[in-house]
Amino acid sequence: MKTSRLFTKTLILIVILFGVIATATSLLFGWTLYRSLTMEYRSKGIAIAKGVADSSAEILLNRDLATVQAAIDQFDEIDGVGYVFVSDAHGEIVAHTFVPAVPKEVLSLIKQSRTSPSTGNAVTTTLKIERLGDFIHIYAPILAGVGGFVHVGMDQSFIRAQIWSTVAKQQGIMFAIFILSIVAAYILVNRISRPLNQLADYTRSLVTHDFAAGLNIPAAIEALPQKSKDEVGRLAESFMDMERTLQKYLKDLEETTASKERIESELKIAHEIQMSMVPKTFPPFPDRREFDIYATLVPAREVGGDFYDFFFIDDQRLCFAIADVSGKGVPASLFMALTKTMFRATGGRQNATPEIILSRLNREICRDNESCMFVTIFCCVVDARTGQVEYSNGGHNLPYVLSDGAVMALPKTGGIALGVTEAADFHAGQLLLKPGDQLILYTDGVTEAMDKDDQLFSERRLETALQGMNGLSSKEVIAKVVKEVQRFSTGAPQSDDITMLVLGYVGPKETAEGTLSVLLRNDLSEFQRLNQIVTEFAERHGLASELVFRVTLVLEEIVTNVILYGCEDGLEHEISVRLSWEDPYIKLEVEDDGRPFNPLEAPPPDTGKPLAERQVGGLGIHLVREMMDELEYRRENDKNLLTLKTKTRES
Amino acid sequence: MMTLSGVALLRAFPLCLILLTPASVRAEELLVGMSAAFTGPSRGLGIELYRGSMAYLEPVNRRGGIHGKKIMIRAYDDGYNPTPAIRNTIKLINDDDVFLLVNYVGTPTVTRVLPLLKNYRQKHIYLFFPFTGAQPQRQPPYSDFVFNLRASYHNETEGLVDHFVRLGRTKIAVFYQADAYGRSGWEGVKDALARHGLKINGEATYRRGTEFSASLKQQVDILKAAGPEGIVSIGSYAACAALIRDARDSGWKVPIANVSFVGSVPMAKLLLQLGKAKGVDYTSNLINSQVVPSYEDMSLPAVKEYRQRMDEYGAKVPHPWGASDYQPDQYSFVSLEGFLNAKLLVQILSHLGAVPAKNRIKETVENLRNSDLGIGSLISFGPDKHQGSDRVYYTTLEDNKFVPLASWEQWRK
Repeated sequence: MKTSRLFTKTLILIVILFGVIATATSLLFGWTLYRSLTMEYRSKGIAIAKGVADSSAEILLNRDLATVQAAIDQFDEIDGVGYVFVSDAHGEIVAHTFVPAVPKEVLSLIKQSRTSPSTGNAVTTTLKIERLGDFIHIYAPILAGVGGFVHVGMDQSFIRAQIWSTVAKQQGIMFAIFILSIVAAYILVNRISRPLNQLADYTRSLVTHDFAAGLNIPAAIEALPQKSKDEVGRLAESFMDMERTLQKYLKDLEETTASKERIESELKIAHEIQMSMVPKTFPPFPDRREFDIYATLVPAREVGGDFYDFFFIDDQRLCFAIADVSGKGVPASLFMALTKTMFRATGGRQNATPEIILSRLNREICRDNESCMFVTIFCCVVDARTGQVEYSNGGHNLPYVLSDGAVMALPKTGGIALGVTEAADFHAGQLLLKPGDQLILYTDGVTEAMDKDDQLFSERRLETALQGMNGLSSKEVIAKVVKEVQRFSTGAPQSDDITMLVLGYVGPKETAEGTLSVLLRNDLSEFQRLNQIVTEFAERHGLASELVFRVTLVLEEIVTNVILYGCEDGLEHEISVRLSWEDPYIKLEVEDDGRPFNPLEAPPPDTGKPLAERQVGGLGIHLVREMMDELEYRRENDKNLLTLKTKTRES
Repeated sequence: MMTLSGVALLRAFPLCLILLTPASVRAEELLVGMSAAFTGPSRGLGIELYRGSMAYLEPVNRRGGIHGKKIMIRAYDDGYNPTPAIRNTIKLINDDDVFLLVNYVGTPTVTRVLPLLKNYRQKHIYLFFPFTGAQPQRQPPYSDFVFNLRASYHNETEGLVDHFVRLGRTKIAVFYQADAYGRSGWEGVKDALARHGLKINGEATYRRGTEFSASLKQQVDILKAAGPEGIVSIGSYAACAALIRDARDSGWKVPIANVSFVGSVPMAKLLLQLGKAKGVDYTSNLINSQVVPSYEDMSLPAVKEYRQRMDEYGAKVPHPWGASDYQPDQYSFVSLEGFLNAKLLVQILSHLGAVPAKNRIKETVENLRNSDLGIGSLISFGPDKHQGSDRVYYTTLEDNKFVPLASWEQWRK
């Protein structure tokens, strides 16, 4: 049986307590008893001595020692009397009770007492007799000393024996009480510690308890509050309350979690639905090479309020828009769905110009706008043949135009967000896109992206990011900007939907279809991409394989030289390669931002370089010169531009 | 001859009387009371005293008693202790309504009973011939109520001391019982020595009730240390025998004199038994003073009569003290004293006449002069003389018998 620790502590306490009590009481009691008994005995002795003294006078005068002896013999029988004797006026002992003889200490005492004057009162002193013990010695005068003295010796060992026996009895009782206390304490502590242990076990079992299975309070615990109406009972009650409450909370939590999961799964579905609402396939119009369109939408939550859309109004005109619904989450997404549908509807009607589209859209939105939501929108229509853009803005961030590496914000048209008032006015703006220009549309999720210090990405950073993006495809532009935004806002949660739409105007059909460009890094491994566009260009224009071969060779040579010699500073550089059809020529343009370097003047191939580094066995510039009809090198805008033309030799 | 059952009947007599007999028969009896040691180390005294008295009384009673009244002894045991003695006396006086008290044994007992006599003085209760030579009952204020036959311890010790001193033994030690009896003897020795200008030279005590088996070596050592030339022993026969044994065992041959209360015959019995067992003679250098003549002294008519009566009485021991282990003495000084006590008592009672009255006891006894008990000296009492005899006899052990001491010269220094 495990001894309760509580009980051990209690036991130790009791032992110490009793030890202290026992010692203290023994000492006190013994001392008090000693003092009282000594006084008692002293008075007893005095009484006897005086009694005998007073009555002995006549007997002594009668010279009847036998009677004196008989008298003192009587007193000798009294408890505590050690000896009695009578001395006469000459100090001779005439009667005594000593066996076998009068001790020498007594004789010397008598001698002493004779020398001190008799006062008529009893004199008390102490006497230690060898082999007999310690005595309180009292002597009283007979006839004021004339008749002699009566001496009484009270045996102190009697007192001591009394004390010891009484103390022993007291200690015996103490001990009995001590044992009883131990038993009582044991029972009591057990009464406390057992339920406590039960509670402890119960609590431990709670940990592994399957709350779903329902309450499982052991009967013993349940009975505790009734059994002990004390702290233990209260504790048991609290524990049971705790379990019940836990049970309830867990049940609620289960339900909440279940409903949350339901909502989440619904939101997931909603997200998928929403994602499917915005055009997701790029390029959206693969056969319309006039445009390089790319867009991305990264919602802040599962569903968001941003959208973009584009569709061809007619054969030549593309209508596209980017919009931002006020708010985030499910409300915004529902509104967004509504808005997008209405946008398509209004855009599909006759006489659809951006300002008309926005007006109509606005009216529609305002009509049933009980939730008072609004949406900012930028809408434009671009003519595929001319690059002419007509646009209208409804409170949205004004797009940028990227043209030849320059970034320019469109001027305002002064329209407000849709859904605010039916009476809003919308105005149109014009813009002409040159081939190669790109229109950058975005929502404030880009510019208002925050970093962990709550700094906004801002238009400035967007402009900075856009600057220098020359010759990149729309997809690449967006990727770079998004990457930039995400890098900026690392550590902070996405606060708003990030939406971007880039419309690149390649040029009129013929040109568009005929032009292909690619942006390479100054790394020889980029040749694969180079080959890809060459292959595609060749497919598009049905080029002969001999021509393809020639073009590939030339481009590889040029690019290699650019990489090895023009960009030998070890930094990353961009090399733009563009293939276009300029009847009857194929135009190759290689542009790089390395040091001023004309690839045509590259040094002869270095045979020292290992073969592996040279994917192309360095034919030399003269081969290039051989293969190309026209060659031109220009250094402009800190870039090297090499233009090569060759006639197509149709097979 | 009275049988044991007869004695039992006798003891139950008062009861039977009340039940069966008319008052007149009761009137034919004279009851005397006795409280003595019938148990304990000194039982020999009570028993022998009783036996001696009964040895004389039985024939008297057989002959019709005194003036037609039989003399009956109502005896109670006090074990030689004062408190029972007091109780017994009260009972004898109040319940048994005895005529007088007789044959009490011991100084401590008698000394404590004396005040009772004074207390019941209206009843005229007198104590006759107590077996003790102490002073309390020989001196005022209690001497009025007591009549002694035997010589006192003072007489005895005086005689012993005188003899020792005359022998040139002036250093006398005292061995005595630590009570009134011993103190009395001690006082006697002290006074006797003082008359010679001497002091007691060494003393040792022992507790009353000490058995023969107890060791008295301590006392022997104490006495030895004082270097006495003679020891006077005032004790019980058991203790005195023990002293003699331990003294002789330690090689000490000093003459030891015992007073009469030391039951000589029982003491001799103990010493002879032990001596035989150990092959040692413990009986030499002993003087026992007696207050009655030697029972071997056939020259005395009383002795002859005594012996005859004792033979007739036989080995009866009073019920219920006839404990199986008590062997009565054929003859002893104690029973001789009891015999003489009874003889004198009968004389006194006859002097009281046919209608004995308690209030005339005193004057009757005090008028007794020169009564001859056949012991060679005459007994007399008087108003100031309540002790009948002053004679002290000296005996010694010879051939396992107590014989009169012929000469002290063997101990001349």
